[in-house]
Amino acid sequence: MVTLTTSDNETFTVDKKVAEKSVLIKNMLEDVGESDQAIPLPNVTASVLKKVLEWCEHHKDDPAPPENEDKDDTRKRTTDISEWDQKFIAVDQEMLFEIILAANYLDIKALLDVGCKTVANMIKGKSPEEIRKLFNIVNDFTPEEEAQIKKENEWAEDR
Amino acid sequence: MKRSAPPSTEERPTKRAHISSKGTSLSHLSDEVILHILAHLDATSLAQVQLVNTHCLRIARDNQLWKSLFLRDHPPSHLRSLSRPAKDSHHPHPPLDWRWVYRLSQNWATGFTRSSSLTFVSLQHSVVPHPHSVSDGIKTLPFAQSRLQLLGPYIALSHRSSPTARILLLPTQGTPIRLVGEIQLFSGSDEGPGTCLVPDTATGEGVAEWRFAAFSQRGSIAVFSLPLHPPSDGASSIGIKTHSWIPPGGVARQIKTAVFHSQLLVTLSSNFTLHLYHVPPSAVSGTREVQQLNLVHSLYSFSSFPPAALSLSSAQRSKNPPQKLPEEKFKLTLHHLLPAYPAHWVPTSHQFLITLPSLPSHSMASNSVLSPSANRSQPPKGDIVPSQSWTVSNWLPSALPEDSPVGSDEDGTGPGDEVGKETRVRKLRGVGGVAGDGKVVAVLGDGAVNVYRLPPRSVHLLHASSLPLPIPLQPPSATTNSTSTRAIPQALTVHAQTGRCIVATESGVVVYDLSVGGKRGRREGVMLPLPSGGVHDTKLGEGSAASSSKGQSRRGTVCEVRTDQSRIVGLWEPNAGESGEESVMVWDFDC
Repeated sequence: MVTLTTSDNETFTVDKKVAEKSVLIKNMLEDVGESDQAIPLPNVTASVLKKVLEWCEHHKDDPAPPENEDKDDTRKRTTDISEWDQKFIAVDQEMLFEIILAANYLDIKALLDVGCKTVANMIKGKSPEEIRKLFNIVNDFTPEEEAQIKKENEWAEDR
Repeated sequence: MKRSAPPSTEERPTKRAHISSKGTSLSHLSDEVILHILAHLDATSLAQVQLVNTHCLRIARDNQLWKSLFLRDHPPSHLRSLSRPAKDSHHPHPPLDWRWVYRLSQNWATGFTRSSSLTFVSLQHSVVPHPHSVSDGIKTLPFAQSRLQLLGPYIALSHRSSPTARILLLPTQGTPIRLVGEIQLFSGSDEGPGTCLVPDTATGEGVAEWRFAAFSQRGSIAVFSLPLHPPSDGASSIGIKTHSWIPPGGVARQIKTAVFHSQLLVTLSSNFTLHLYHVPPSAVSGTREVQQLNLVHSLYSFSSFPPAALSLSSAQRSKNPPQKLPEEKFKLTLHHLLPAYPAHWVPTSHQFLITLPSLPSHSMASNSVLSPSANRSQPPKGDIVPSQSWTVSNWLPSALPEDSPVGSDEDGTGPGDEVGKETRVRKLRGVGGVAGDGKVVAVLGDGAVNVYRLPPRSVHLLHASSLPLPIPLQPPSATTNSTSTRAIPQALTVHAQTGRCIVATESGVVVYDLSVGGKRGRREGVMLPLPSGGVHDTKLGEGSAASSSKGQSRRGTVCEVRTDQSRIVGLWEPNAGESGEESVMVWDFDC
């Protein structure tokens, strides 16, 4: 069993197999060796870690991702999120980004993929203004700049 | 412009927190994670993302992002075509702009082009027999005409009845097609229209200029050189260098077709003899005097049918510039169509390996000027060996029903399950153009582009696919043989480097990507319509008042096509018997 401490000082005790879905924790355990000491995770809050561990628990028996993942990575499609993952990731936007940040920090590639694909699916088919509204982004282009970019991207327009 | 974001070096996630006031948002993610998100999008969505704000624009144009998108969406074989001469000689290896690479491949796949045309009215057609009016019962196929060539930034165009050739500059973003030169092809007793134009297909770092060869009615050879970089916008003419040669042994028979690569020129005469010439690099022999061309070899016809298409490429695997190597090796491929009883055709191919000794080019040039007779007695020792032949061992017996499924493609399963069927090739009834490179041959016939591969260790042509033409064609029927030849397009070209096949038709050009053919890709071609009379459409010779006669009223066909990595050029001419002007058409995918 492994003990994890969050930034808001909550502790979680989980199976080693579950915790090692995180490459960060796995490496730490390998470096430290057998120890009862809690592993501090200063970048993750309890509510997010709870969610992340829920994912790790469900996927603990998944085969390890292939070492050479570069090629694999580029061929991934947005649609292939498993049903369980889709339900898991159906959270509010803030939590979604928290999970992505945590997955990135904890180095859980598969979870990061699920999060990124979900965001990509949210962006797909939306206009720039819709994307701005969705993510609360301010437009800092001048009309001339916008026109120029539009012209350069004519080829990519939906036809 | 107003920019709220700090310079990119300081743009860490924490510093962008002010963009959004509440909770964790997209702006908290590092660029790396955002790239990860964007890698799951398509080009259309990424175009929208670029318009969100300056930060999104920068990330959505990341070169590595577009590299991974290209590798995801397009066959890597497209990259081969990009080994073209560097645009700027001072920066021979600029970093590859992957967004541009993606855009080019995407535009080829979707058919997004900027098309334009230029119509000539100054030349009047004299009554010349239409080259494509194939008469019945003729055993040999007509030679595809070769009046149009694409040479880097130039188009060279000759006329069937005019002694001059035109040099045009391809259109760019702001400029239309432009005439930059008109050259007299031959002088003296050779004066008259040329029989064909043939480009030097050697490209790459060793190339200092764009060259093409022309052949006079009695077989004299002229090589023209165009500057590597076209003149700037203002200039209306370019410096063209000319070198003329009389073939060894004096004027000979008409040259029907030829191929030209680096220092080797292979011509096919009207008596089906192949001549191999060593052409000195014109950078050295910069004179206009008539020189003797070194005949390396002659190949007499070993079959009673001439090749329908020739292709010549460098057999060198090395990336060194060819002139630094001790010798040059070439691969010459002859593509034949042989008649098969009754009134059908089957393809065959023969390949030769040619070794050309790399003599110091200046000594060759001076030799030939000073003592042509001595030179003739000691020709350079060229070497030609037949390397391989491919035939069809087992075409389908004519007893089989006409439309019985043959090959793997009739049932739509693609070329993946060719095993056991490779020697079964269907005879073609009505054939049009033939084009090939050293690896594939494409034959227009029976309403489809029939693609055959030349496998390196086999004596059999491999029927790779029959790509349907997206236009209705008259089915060839026994009673209307004469009209069926008109319905089958004559003009097609296979571009070895990009693996694309272009077919010209009456209503436009069709692009097939042979590298994605079969299971993975689309088998149907992308149809590009004829350029409509738009802003880029200019008439030459009549001024501005002439644009009214453009359009649908003209009946004709694209009779010749050429292509390179980013363009297709076509020569449109009116149908036989109809009056009208010919046009040069350009489809530019780099837009």
